[in-house]
Amino acid sequence: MKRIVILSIVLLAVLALTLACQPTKVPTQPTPVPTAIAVFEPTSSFAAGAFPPPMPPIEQHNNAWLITDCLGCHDKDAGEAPTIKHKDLPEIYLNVNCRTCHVPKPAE
Amino acid sequence: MNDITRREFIKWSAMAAVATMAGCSAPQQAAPAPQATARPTVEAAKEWHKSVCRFCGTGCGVQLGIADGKLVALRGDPDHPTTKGLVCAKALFLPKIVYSPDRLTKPQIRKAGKLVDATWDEAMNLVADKFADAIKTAGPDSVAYYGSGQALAEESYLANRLFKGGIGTNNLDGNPRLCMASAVGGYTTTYGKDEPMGSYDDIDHARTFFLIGSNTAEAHPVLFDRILDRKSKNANVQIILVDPRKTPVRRVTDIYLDPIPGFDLDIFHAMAQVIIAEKLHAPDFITKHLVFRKVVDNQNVDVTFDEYVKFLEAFTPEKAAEKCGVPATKIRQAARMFAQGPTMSLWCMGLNQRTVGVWANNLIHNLHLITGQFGKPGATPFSLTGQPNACGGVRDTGALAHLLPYGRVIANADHRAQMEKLWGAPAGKIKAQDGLNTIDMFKALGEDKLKAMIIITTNPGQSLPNANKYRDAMGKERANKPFIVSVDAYPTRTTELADVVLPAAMWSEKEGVFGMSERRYQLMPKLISAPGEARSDFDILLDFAARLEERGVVAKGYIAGKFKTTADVWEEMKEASRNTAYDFTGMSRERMKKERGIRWPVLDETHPGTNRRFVKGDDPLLDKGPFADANLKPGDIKIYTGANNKAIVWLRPSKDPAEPADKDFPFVLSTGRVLEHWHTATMTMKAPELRRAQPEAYCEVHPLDAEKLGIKTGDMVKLTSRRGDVTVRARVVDTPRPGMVFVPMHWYEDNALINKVTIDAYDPASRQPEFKVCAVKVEKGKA
Repeated sequence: MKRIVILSIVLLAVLALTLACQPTKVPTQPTPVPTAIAVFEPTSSFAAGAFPPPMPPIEQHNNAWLITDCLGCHDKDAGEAPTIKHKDLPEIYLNVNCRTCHVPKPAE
Repeated sequence: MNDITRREFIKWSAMAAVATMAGCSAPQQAAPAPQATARPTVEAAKEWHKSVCRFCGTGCGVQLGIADGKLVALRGDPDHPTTKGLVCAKALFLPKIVYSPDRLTKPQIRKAGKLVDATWDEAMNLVADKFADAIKTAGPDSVAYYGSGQALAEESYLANRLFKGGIGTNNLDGNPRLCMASAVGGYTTTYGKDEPMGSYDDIDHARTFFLIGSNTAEAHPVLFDRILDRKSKNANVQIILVDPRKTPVRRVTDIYLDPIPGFDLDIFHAMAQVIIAEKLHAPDFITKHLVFRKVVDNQNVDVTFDEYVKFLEAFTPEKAAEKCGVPATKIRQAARMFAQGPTMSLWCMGLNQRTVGVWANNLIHNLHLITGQFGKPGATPFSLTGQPNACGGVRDTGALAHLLPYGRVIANADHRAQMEKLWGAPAGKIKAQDGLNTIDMFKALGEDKLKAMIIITTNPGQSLPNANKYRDAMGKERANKPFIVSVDAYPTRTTELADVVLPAAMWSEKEGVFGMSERRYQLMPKLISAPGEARSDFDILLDFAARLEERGVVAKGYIAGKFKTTADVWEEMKEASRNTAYDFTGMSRERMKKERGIRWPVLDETHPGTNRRFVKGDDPLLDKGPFADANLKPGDIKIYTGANNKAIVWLRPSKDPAEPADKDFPFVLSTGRVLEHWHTATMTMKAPELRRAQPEAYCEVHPLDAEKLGIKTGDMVKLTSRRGDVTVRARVVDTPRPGMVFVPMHWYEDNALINKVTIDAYDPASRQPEFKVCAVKVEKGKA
């Protein structure tokens, strides 16, 4: 069984190599998995990292301006959208425009 | 599957895929896009200090994390009374901006056409020689200072002192002339003195927000967040937006009016007409606090309320609809909602950057005054500011060509005498004539009427309208080309034109005061060192003044030896404010180090600062000093700066923009901001994340226009005006009105520098140029 699994991984890698190394294709970087990277102080819960994660270039982000646009996916696990990690911030933070802090990251 | 779990399988697969991708980079790959760099974390900071953001006029409180003398993190200050810990992306990336590798670190002198490194002594001697020679041979009015709403308040005050009281020229102006002068003119002509009477606290009480020509969501995002917060918690809060472009604010708007660009004055008159016709006005407030005035043959003439009502008959909603291109029903709805209140008006460049900017400001004040939406929680007219220190640093210190500190004006002999006495300048040293305003100053430069100019913390080589003309004025080689000094932290489109470039310390590399939109003065501490040999504008001005004293063009000891630090200057500034409407004598430096800003007026160390001016019980000037009135009860209003303690409702006629669209140039161009960049982007482009978010200039074209022109999103479009052209990428979107195009103002490349296209016609009252309206033709361009 173990051998079958390892073989599957090798085959997957070969397949990926074949697809990714097409000479006619513009090389792309792997789409980063958006993660909530804000760091919090245990006492105040205010984001201290200062650089909130950017919005990756997906269709849903194109016209996202209001928090209602964002929470549809990010309020709870919805597909691959990460759940916001700063729900414990004061209420004003939950009524704001997410793009105040989260800048878009356009496709390369 | 017992030996390998599902989790491990996914992990291994992902590792294999990433390794595959990483290993397959094609050798001919294009230049890499800017990548995010390391992110500071709270763990890295050894100490935290309160400070203030240095971008827009919101004045967000921030906390700075410092380790080993370096800025390693920034976060919103949760204890800040008005911004409550909110900040925007521009502030969050300030640590990267400060440490940008292209910071200027050495003085430079232009030799044989090239800027080469020099010592401070060489550079400052050259600057002082050129200025002294000009003053001696051509008089004090042959030199000029062009300053900034980003310089510290103490720096602008010191420059004002040096030029007006030391050198003896009023040729001192600054970039607030490009953004806020019409708001100044509006407040001054209506209430007698500048600056808002309300504060950000009013956001938490307003029921109606009247937003005019303000893309608050992008230009003042933290204030927009407070409005959103207010609206989300109160179902009866409504927003009216007047803007020809559907900015992101439109997404939360209840009534949207999109006038033809430059044709909105009639809307405001029509709203007033509806308010009075439907008896929604406030007769008692009108009787107690207002006078009505018009201009006839250049003379102010007072009129009655009935004459004002008669005047408004020409501005019914139907007539306004015809002229402005908005439905009459919406004008009526807006008027009723406005009158219901409490109403807070917020406006910005869409109203100010116009040839009728002062009049437009007057008409917003008119609406507040006739409805009594004034001096009550949530009821106030509030002009938003574009720079961190346009208010406290330039408007209040009087660092414009027609002003003197704290509400004084050049034209008033008593005011000049007061400042000469305080400054120790001989009587008559301050000239009685206004100096050159920004546009006239750069025109004079192009005509070689000025011999030397120093430009501090601003970038007119990019930010002036009709930029080709004024770039030539600054940099085009000619026999009598004026001598230009540029003081900046970064290379800009201005430093490239200068004869001497002086490297400046920025933001947290120096200590001083920022005064933001709501009259709050905040002390920014010095927390880190400037790179290389960079010095603060304050130190440069002190050095400059001392060398001018040595050369005999400024009296000995006028500045040299009198001030060593910005704190020394602050003491004199407090004295200059004493017994004026701006009195902040209660703001000691020690107090400011502890508190998160204080709103003037504040007369003693125990007063908490003023939330609403002109309101008994809140404004200390109604209790003590020259404006005190013991007959008032708490909550009573007295507009003590006004004409006979009254505000003026102005009967302003309708007037078209300087250059509406026509047959040859059939589109109207308007410029503005995006959230991720600020002004000429010399700072925000230094943060890879901000640059990547908005990497390229663009032009918004309405789909109906795009179809006629055969333009689609991604095509290059050429915009041509009577002054210049740019070629940028098209975005076909329905945000602008049909017939209008929009280009952000931030990009500095030659093909995208939109101010080559904009017009330098200015408001005759405020001298502020009409960036928001000019005629262009639009055609498909070449990449």
